[in-house]
Amino acid sequence: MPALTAAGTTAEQAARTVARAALPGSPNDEPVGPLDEPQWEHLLTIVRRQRIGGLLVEAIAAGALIVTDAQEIAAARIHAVGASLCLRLERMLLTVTRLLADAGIPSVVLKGPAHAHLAYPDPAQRLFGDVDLLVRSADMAGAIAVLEQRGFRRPFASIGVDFDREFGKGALLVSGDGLELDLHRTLVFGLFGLTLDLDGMFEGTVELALAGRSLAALGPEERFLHACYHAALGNNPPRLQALRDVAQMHGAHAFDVAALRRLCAEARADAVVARAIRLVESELGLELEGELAAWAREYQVGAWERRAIEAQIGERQSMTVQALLALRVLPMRSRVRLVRALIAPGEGLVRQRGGSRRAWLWRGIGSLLRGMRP
Amino acid sequence: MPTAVWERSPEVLWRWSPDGALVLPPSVADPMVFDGTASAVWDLLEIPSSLEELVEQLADHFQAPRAAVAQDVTAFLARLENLGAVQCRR
Repeated sequence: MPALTAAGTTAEQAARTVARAALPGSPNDEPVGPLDEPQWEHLLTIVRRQRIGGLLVEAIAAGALIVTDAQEIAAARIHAVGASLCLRLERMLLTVTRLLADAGIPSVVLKGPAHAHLAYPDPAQRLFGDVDLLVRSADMAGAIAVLEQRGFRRPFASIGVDFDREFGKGALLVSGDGLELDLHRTLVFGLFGLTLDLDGMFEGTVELALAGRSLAALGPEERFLHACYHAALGNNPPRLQALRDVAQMHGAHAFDVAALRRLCAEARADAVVARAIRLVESELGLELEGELAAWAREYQVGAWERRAIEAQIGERQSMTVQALLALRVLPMRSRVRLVRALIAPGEGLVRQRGGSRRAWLWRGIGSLLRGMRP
Repeated sequence: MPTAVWERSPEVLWRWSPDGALVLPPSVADPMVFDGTASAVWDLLEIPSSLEELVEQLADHFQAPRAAVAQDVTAFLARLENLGAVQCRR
């Protein structure tokens, strides 16, 4: 990769340098910066939006990003704000997991707090803006009820209780003081969330020690897989933090590659993991080492996989196409329930979005028929 | 008589930040910022330490009189203990 010079360094180039800061196993970047003020302000916008304030201060401390005194102060301020939010979110996490445990509902910590404490040498490097928690499908309704009794509210109406329990990714809940909790029943929305062994996620958990409590986090292979889902399917273009999480765990040899490959095969996630690794290389300007990276570069994406990824993240995202593709992998009874849930959603959603149930039914049937066209 | 040992409370949530330590004890609504000497004390409490050990290290680091350091650190630890950020094993 060519060295970046102070003259003409853009905010986007600096953001990539930030995202690579202190990455295990990677060579040190040639320093970049200082940025002129317009580009610096643009970089701060990127940093705030992508919540990479922890990596920004790390890049400055490591000498990868040269900054003025005023810029260093601004970076420290952004980090302090972001890290303070993380502490408040962790407090909420402790409260929520205890409430659920008291109700007999096991939970597994996902993403932000798990990565911060298990994947990064200093949790201050990995900021996050919400808490993600996995519960069993059968426990979704009960978990939501427990939390709603404690002042959490659900800003977006459910498609339906049956959809929540069997097909949805989960539910967004907001605490009384405005903190967000993403309650998951699976790791990712859509087709790829339906091919996972969800019960298996609870069997291989590892300890996440937090404030004297012992919480559960995903095992290393499942956590890497989830990071790949987030990087490959979460946003288009992918978020820098999501790419860094994949690179961080890959570079730290944080999982067993053979075990990961078996997990991917079972979950039909090969194309997703390959895409995540290729995105890390192309978007962060890295060349990852090892057999997994070599496999990812050579992986030939199948037609079904391409269509599934396109339906999730491409220019023509389509919940209907995802649903139709999901019909191929679901057992017959589930197929019927999925179609019924999509064309006849719950009263709450109809009320929130407007219109009548009959209009929803005809709209849903039309959408399915259009989705079935080649 | 066994020496009293000070340590970070296991229930406290905290992070390092460029400005110092951000500390959220259970009884406090929003994170507190420990900078300067307070940050140095928090750093030293990585290892449970007696008051004397803390005073000696701080006095050496800041080149300050031990008596003054001892007075300040005693008051600071008392405040932190009240907030639930540290605990003393006596």
